[in-house]
Amino acid sequence: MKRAVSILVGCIVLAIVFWLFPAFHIVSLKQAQAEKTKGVFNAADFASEFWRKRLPPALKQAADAQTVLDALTKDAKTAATTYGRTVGISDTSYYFIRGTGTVVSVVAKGIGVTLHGPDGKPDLLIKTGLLSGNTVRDATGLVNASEFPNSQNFNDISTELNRIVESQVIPNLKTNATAGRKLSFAVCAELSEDDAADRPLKVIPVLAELQ
Amino acid sequence: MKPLSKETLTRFQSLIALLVMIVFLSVKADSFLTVSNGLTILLQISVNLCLSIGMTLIILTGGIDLSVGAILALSGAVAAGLLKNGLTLAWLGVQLQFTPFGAVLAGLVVGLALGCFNGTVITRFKLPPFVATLGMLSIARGLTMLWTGGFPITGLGPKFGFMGAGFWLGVPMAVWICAGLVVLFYLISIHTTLGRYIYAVGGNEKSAAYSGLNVNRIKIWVYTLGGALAGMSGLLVTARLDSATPNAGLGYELDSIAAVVIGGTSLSGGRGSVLGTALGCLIIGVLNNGLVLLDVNAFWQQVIKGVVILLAVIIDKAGGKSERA
Repeated sequence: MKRAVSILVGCIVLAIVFWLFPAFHIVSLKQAQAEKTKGVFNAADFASEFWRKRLPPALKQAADAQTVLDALTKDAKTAATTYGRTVGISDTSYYFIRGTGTVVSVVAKGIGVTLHGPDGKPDLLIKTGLLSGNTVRDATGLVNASEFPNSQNFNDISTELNRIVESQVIPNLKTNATAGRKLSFAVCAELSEDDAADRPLKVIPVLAELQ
Repeated sequence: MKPLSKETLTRFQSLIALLVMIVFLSVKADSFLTVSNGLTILLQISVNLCLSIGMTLIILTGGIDLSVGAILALSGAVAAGLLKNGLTLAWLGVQLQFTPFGAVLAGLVVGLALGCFNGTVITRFKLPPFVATLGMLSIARGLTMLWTGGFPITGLGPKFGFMGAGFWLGVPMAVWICAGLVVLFYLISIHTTLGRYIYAVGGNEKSAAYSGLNVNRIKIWVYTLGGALAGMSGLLVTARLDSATPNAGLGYELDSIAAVVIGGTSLSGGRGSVLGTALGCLIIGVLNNGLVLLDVNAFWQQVIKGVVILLAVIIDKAGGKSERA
């Protein structure tokens, strides 16, 4: 009898404690999912909006391809300060360039484009393989690291932008580019001073319209 | 004035050692004897102290628990995981979103359950505690990896963090909690039936059994309490770091055993106390702190700590012999 009373009292005390200090709340899975994603940074959404809204008007501000190539050949340092962007203390410069050219070669690594005419050597090699790195994000200069609370979010944007290029720009190029076809392009490049004179210049396309 | 007897010296050896160290370090390092340094030492020893209280009870029964570090990690990880991600019950279409209080309870329950499992395996299958708890060490480490996926669980919020990183009356909350636990378990070990049974089992298990004690039940209780205290330590570490890391508590079992031994608890059981263990933890804490303040090479620090542990056991042995004589 005494034992039963002790157990009963214990249960009542526990019930009061848990009533005053609940251990958990029960919510539906739908509600839990909504709460989890609320306010959480979504890199895919950000990149998609960037691609549709921020990038198109900025294409006009991209530097002329021939001008940049000439500047790079002449003096890489001056070219970097005039046309490039540098992130942090890095030695690497990012270039956002546009122009028109002619496809001269289609190889596994990419599409060779000359700016001078169908018989010229390729000045640019537009990459058509899998992309990595932050070239698109940093070359356009439209995304500022300080907008993001942590570097992981900032890095995720690059991944998503590369994915968009891989899925929306490169497939059309790969399928339709043939030697001799004219092309309007806007591309991004990442260069160190040592690579500045290398030709063709390896670039990532953000716009490629075959005529 | 009457000179101190050998018995008194043996009885208070840990306290004397601590006082000698404090005096020496006060003279040698200017910043040692300050309030902030004192609080730092207390905060640093809090996790080991919490673990060591449970280890003391276990060693008093003549056992050992090598799984406390792993239980610490699992308890912290479970609490952090439940607090951060909740518990999804897909078949019911609901999620249990844990409050900090619920997460703390869950962490304690995990420690308690694993400790109980240890005790049950040791008593039911007559396994040596060393082997049984070594198995649990591996099981708990594996479960921690499974639960966390090998990644830390971070961002647990200020409410949960308060118990590990908060202050009350200028003293870290973790220190208050550990001080409370020391008092509680000192009282349990000295003034309760369970406490007396623990000493009886450790002193002579057969005699205890012949005199009618349910030795197995006492052992299960002791391992359960040890597990719960390991769980509490896991909560303190997790709250303090605001993160549950899968590798938390690696090697803590050895620090804990060292503190118990330095505190004068006999590894063969039956002799020692929770207060002695608290002193043992303080000695290790003061030693660590002092060696850093004296700018002793980190590799030498390891050597010195090892020597101190050896000395403690040798003195303890000598003390034990003289008491028997």
